[in-house]
Amino acid sequence: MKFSLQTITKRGRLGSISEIERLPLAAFDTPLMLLTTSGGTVPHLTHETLEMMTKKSLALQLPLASNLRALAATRESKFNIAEFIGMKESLTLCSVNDPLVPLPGGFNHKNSVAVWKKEGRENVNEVAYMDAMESLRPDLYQTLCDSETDAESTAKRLQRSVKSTASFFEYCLERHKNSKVLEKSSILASLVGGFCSERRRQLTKEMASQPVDGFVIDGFNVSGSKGESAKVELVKELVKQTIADLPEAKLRVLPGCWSPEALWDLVQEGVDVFDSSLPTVVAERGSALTFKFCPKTKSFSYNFEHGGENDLKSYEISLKDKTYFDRLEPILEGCECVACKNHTKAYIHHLMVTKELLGHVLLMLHNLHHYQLFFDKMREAIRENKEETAES
Amino acid sequence: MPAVLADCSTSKARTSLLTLPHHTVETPVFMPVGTQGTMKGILPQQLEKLNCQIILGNTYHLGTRPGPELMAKVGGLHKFMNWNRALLTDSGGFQMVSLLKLAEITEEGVNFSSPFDGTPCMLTPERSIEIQNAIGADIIMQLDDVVKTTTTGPRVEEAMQRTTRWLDRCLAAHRRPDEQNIFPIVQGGLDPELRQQSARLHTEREVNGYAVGGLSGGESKDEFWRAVHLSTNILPKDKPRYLMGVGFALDLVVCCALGIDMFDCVFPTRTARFGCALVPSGQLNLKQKAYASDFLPIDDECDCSTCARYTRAFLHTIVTMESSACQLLTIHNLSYQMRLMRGIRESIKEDKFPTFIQEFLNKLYPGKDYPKWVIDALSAVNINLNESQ
Ligand SMILES: [Zn+2]
Ligand SMILES: [Zn+2]
Repeated sequence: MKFSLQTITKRGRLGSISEIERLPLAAFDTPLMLLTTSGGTVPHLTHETLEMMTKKSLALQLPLASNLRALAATRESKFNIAEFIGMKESLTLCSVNDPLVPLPGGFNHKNSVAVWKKEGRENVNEVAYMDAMESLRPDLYQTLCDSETDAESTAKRLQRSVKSTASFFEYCLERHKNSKVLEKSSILASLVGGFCSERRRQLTKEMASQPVDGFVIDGFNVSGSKGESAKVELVKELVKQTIADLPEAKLRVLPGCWSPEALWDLVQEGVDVFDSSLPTVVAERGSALTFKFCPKTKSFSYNFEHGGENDLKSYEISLKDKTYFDRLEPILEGCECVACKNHTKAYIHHLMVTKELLGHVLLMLHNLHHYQLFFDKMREAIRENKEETAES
Repeated sequence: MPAVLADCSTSKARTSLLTLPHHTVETPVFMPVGTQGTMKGILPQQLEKLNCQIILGNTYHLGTRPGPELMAKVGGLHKFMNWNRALLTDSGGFQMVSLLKLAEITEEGVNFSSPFDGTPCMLTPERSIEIQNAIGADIIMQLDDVVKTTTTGPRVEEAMQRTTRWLDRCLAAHRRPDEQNIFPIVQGGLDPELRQQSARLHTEREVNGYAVGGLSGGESKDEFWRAVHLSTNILPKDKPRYLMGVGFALDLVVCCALGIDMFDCVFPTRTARFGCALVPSGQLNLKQKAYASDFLPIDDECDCSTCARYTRAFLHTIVTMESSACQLLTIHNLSYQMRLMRGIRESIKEDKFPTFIQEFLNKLYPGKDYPKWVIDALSAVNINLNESQ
């Protein structure tokens, strides 16, 4: 993998991921949205419906939990994970946590990490983890980490998290260097430390000079709804501090279910890669993203149709809401997605009320399209920012 | 209404073009069931790509949610679900009797208590047509008096006679005869006399097609095919014949030979949800461990988007776990049904339908242990299976 930076501004940076060994012709612009998968599928979608959403090459985030099911098959076969899940044209990044599901917490041991599958918990140590990576052969993967930490974690817990993560790292890197099958995969160092700036700095400084292809800033416990309500000001400070200690040329990944506003803040701090857990989680609760982001003014605007009587976020409308029973306009006027071009709010509301699968399919198609556009606009905003800076 | 393209020179099978307001349908045709105006997470564009020509909606469900008022306001189900090809709706009667325990049938209509608030409601022939007029399907069904297939005695005759009386009320209540075709339903249980009488009574009405109802509900296969055979012998040759609720591959092939043109069944789409894939040799239950290291597509002769990309081993890891799996299997199963029907049509055009049946059965029964009812039904239409090859 090659990561090349094109533009660095005070409000984020533009780059490109290319020269993936498996995908010589593909290039992915950063800031990039990875499509979060569950069991190797983008929830509710298939290759055919994803193609209706975008013609661009896709980059997939494969959380370990849902990959475990594929493990036996990839181990036995000649297939890597991208081929096994029928997405061989897509980039694959294996992550330790699943950003769609909040972590229950308290199940990581000193020498192993709890991975939550639909069937239950499985604890994975560094050896099993690297065995898994050698079977899955993703294009990028992060080193095993103990990231079950949040703002409430005790100093002792954070200490343990940093210590285990550093020791996992040592093993993972060594295995990676000597692994023939992982020759073509890129390795990303995991950075943890919860909400404690000293712990984070301690580990970041240790990792910054390591021979890795990038970093995953983890350990905030911001999966699912926890991410949407995370203390973003604190996270921002910690990310800023972490990034200041990292080499500029390397890729920075920040998983988690961030609100759009938080995401834009984090882009401005210089993060390059995120995931699609937010649009997925929003679709899962029957909502469509409707916020707007203006690249010129770099500001958000919202569509407050509900009058704020329920606990919806400013960036969504709930298609479960009775007000849409007979509304014959699309989810979002002017949206070019498959759902908005062909279907009305009334129809999607009907699908929600009757619990039909197509409702979530249409919401996913809209939300992912909308979020992809948001990433386009953020990149545009950074580009604009560069021009403004150059003029003044 | 239908333009016959070809008749099988051996059996009663035929292939025709059925011109409906929204689409010209090639028969014999299988109609997938999209009960609530959608089918298992599949987009209308995907259904078109699969060559689905006509799909079914359920009047009972759509009449309850979103209801006929909204249907009328949006301009019908075609617009509501954005489906531009043909649609068929049932009368709602069968759903009511099978879903609601408290339904009671009187001469006026079907009495039932609302599943939402328990208030007494009545589905009359007039009300069924009123709702179906609002939904706006190309083909609509008369309300019929449904009895369990295995019922015997005077109730069967009563239901048969009442069905004809209700047919006349439906025809009188129909407000959009230029845009929607009512199909009467041949009833009469398993009694040959009653079934023939029902078919004769209905052929006296001026309609564009007929349905054969009251079958596929627990009767023996022997009784089943004989009732179909009797019905198609009486129904006019120049009108389409729709066999309700039948959709297993074997039944489709045999009943095409008996002269049926249209079929519907929830099976191919419902079974997909549980990880069952349809193949020429029968079914694969992809949940089974055997598929965990099987890297073939479901069916390597299938040209669907699922078989083009996904292996049995991968599907094994996601069936019944991920909603995408349901869509992938639904696509394959519909593709299987559509391909089967296309094969039937092509072979009739080439007048090679008996050969088609023989090849179809060879794949399904490699040991040539054909069920007796299949041998009997096919020999009734002059197709003699090669049993000793
Ligand atoms: Zn849209
Ligand atoms: Zn297939």
